[in-house]
Amino acid sequence: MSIADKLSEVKIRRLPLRPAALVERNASIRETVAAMKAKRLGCALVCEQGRLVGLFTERDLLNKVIGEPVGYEAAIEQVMTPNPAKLSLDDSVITAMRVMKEGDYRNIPLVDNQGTAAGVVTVRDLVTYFAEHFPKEALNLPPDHDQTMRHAEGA
Amino acid sequence: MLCPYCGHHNIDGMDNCEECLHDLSFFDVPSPTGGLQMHLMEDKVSHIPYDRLVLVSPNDSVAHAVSRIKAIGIGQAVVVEDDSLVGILTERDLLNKVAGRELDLEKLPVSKVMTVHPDAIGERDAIRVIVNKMAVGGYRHVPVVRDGHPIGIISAKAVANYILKHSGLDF
Repeated sequence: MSIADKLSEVKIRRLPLRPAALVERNASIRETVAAMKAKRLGCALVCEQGRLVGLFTERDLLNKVIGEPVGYEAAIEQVMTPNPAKLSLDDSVITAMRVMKEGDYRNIPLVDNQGTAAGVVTVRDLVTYFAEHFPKEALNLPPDHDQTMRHAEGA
Repeated sequence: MLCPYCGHHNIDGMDNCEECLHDLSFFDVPSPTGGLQMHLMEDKVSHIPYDRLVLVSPNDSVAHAVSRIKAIGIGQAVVVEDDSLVGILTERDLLNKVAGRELDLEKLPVSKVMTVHPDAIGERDAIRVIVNKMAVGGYRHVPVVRDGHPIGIISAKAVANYILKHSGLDF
């Protein structure tokens, strides 16, 4: 199967997605940041009784929190992006790539049929998926003759 | 694997011929057949549009670096000392090391928060090198350097858009 067929046929649910960071809309910014750090993700899905109501990303943190007069105890709903673009787990990988390109997004929340937050697909997931499709070209690089070690071996 | 120079029979995967020491590493480079694979192998990193570059010094304050990257709407600054790449300050660094802590960002130097000696690529490297670094290293931004001087930065988003464009599915 060519990469073009694969990208259009493979559903997002087939990607090795990492578990999303989920917070309630009245959670504090501090709790949200802790959830993102614990999951090692660049965004958190903001929910109300499980339903997705907003997205908080590293970009929101940079633009609306860091260096701004907002305390970390403020509710996340004050700084989240409400009603973010979202996709279903059954949408294709190519749809995710197109939505990311059009909206200039790095993270797209995923919801199930009932609108319940089900995960997140990130630009990194897509680049990794792509690299794994071309293991010989992208993962198995020949040695770099100019490579120097930054530390002594074993140090 | 027969050495093309002296005919010595080497074990597959050897970097140099055991007998005549000629370089054999090019045998490991696959030859592209066409389409996206060829773009991946033959196009240079410079085919991907670079993100705008914000250069800061390790002694600049985090507040200064943050206000500069916010002003142009990007998420990272490249840290240089004597015009050479020494670090990168990304949103992830701010999330992990700044967010939620009571820090005086006016007094906190960039050097305390940045990722030191980030992996970088040359502008003449093939696209597959950057795909490799992002997939294996998990980076979302890789600086492009010329003789150790940063000249641009490539985001995972730009790489994904490049793949979309050359997959023939960008409609």
